[in-house]
Amino acid sequence: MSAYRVAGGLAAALLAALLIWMATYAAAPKPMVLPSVQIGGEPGERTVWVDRSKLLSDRNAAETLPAVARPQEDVVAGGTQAGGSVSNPKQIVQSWKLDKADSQILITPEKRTGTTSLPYRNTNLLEQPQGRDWRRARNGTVVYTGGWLILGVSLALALFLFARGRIRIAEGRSSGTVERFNQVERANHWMTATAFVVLALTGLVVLYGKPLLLPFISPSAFHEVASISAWLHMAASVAFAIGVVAMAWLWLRENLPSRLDVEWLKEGGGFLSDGRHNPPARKFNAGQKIVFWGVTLGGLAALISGVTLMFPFAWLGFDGMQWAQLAHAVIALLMIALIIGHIYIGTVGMEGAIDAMWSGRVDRNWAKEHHSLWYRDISGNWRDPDGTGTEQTSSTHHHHPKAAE
Amino acid sequence: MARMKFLCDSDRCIECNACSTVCKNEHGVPWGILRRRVVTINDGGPGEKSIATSCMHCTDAPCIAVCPVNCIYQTDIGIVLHNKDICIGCGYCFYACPFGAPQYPQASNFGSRGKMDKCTYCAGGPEKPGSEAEYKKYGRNRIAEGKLPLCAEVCSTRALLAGDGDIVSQIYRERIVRRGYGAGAWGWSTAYYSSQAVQG
Repeated sequence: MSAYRVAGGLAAALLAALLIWMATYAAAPKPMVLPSVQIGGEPGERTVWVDRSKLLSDRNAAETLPAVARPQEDVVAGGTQAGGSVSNPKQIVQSWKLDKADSQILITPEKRTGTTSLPYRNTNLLEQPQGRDWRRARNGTVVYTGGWLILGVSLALALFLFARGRIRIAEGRSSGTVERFNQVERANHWMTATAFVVLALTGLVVLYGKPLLLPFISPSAFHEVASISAWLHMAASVAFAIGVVAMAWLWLRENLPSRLDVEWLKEGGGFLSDGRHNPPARKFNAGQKIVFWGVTLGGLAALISGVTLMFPFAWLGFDGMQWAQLAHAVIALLMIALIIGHIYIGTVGMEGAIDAMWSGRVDRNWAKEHHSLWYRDISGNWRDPDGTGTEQTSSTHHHHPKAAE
Repeated sequence: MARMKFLCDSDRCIECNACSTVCKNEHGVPWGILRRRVVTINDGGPGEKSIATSCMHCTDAPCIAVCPVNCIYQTDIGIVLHNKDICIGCGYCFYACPFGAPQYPQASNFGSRGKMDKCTYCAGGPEKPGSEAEYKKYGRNRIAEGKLPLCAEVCSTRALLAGDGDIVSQIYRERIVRRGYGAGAWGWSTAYYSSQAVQG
């Protein structure tokens, strides 16, 4: 068993354990917010604010009734210290349960706005109970969807690596290479890639930092991490936007869907078998086209929703801002899952694939096996397996390479 | 032990704005920040009502749940406070808050808002009660002095009630019985009884 398969097995075991751990949280009832700081004295103790409230009650009664003479009572607990931690938060929340008497005065929650003389945005809001729905969606649906996506895709890839091992160049490396991506394409790819990784990590800090990072570092250290993340997230979006537009301009034509893609997908890209035969592909196969469209269309959607979030309430109201945030997070999580697959197949998953973006030149046998039609077009001698040296690419020439001269 | 709540009797509120003014004065709240404000519904029409609104210090507070840095916290008497040293100004609490309570100084470019500010129920923040540091960031701490929020204390018609939830609710219910009508406790179902766990 190769080292790759062993690593795949270990990673799969670890990821499966993480998925199960996350699933227990996903299945459990969603936690309530509990009080954490004690300023009100011991449970059951009379406090000064209750006495104050009773005075208020007396004043209210005195409006229409004769003044009540209240007996002088001892000084009670109150007057707060900085506050320790609460020892019985669940019990306290239990004591906040609905009183039958209160149910008489409750009004059905609904979104209500009114009028104010204030010159600021949103000050006419009276109530938007949907804020609680947004909280449930963000803290529940989005957080766990992201968990399933990221851990699930990673687990699937680890299992694939375990079962299948690394996809080798079936004929082994040849002695020659052909150019696949020029300097402009590679520079743009890596700029976009760097920006994406920064955006992904900083976004994940904002979504998952509180449960996954804060328990391990101090609140002030986490504050620094989160502030830097929030700032970097917006800074990196500029590079990402430029990169995605340039990518679309450079590669759009070659990524238009064709009939070959259906065949390619039907055969699973040829990844499932060891043989030399892979479904034919031009410069980009269907898998790469999925990544391309995922990055350009997903990137565009992420940029639009992201810019919306940068200018809160500039053109959307509460509903719009809440949906923009949810959409932004879900699109980003889908893209992260897609890019995890992209990184896998470009590095660990397939021998010779990284060269395309690193040096820009790929092995002739790699090109022949994975992009047969593209290789035929650029070399004109795809039946010649020996690859006699480095050859300048050209889509037209049909001569034997210069190195042979 | 107390569970502090706000209740605005909309049949009494006369939209004098004393509550929001005295709040600004007491806590030195800067321009553009409103810890309490008065909203009028059906303005100029039949059934016009004014309601003084602010942070309601919710049970199962959604702002605390969505805060990505855990800067907002609840005390054992229900008051929801925040730590300005931890806030990153992301604005999530504003999307989650049912009452539009969180405020941010100078919304500058690219969503980089300043640190959130909101009603503290006159209970300051995590600094030492009554200290200068606490006053600068959060305003006066009346709760530490055994007093109730000033906005309700100055209310000339006693429309705005602040204090222990049971007592405040009882005052309001007695009023309804005495005068024979009442529009209901604005925001209470959303603020205090919205999640399954607290519906009894």
